[in-house]
Amino acid sequence: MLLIKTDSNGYLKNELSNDPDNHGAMFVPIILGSDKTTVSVATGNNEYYPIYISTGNVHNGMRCAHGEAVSLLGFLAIPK
Amino acid sequence: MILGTPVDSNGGDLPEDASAPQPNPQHRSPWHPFESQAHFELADFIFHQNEMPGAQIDELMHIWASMPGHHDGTPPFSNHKHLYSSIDAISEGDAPWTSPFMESAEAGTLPADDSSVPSWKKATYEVVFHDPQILLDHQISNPDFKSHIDYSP
Repeated sequence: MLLIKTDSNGYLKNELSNDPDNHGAMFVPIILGSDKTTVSVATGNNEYYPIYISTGNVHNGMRCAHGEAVSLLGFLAIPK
Repeated sequence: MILGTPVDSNGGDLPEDASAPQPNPQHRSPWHPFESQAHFELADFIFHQNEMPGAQIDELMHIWASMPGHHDGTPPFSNHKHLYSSIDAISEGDAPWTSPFMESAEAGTLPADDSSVPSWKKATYEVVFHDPQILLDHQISNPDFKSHIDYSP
């Protein structure tokens, strides 16, 4: 998963930094991603729709190379 | 401004030359909740690699306790339940799973005998997930990312 920095990110960051209560906080952009995977089991077929979660803080190179930078948040199982 | 400069856990500024706070100060040993590295490795061997049945774990610990020359006669785990509870007590990387069922918002209002209603609208689906905040806490606190993280993205 590769990310490209956009201007909306900077806009949001500036809005948040205007609030003095946010002093000392870290801005953590949340990234969600999904795909479909079909898993065959002995009893039939299930389609799994996993959703993954990551942050915009970890560098792209690390997110691609390191399994722990992206976590499986959950999945929807659909029996076929 | 969001500067990405070092702060303490309450958000107060730290001097630039401050040393980093120790992670997980409540755990004295990195092998917690196991007594030692050997206890952890034994649990990993028995449970994970060997997949030993509970009754055999009990017997192994019984033999271990009566081994001549073994200092105080205490086995590494008192029985298989002690071993299982030690594994369950691992807090590192733990984010409990929940699996609620969900259905279409219209499901309750659809006529049961109308064949024109697609079956997916009436079906119930299981959604399995865990707490996103716990997952992100783990990701951000991972020491492997120390020099590969943007504190002010």
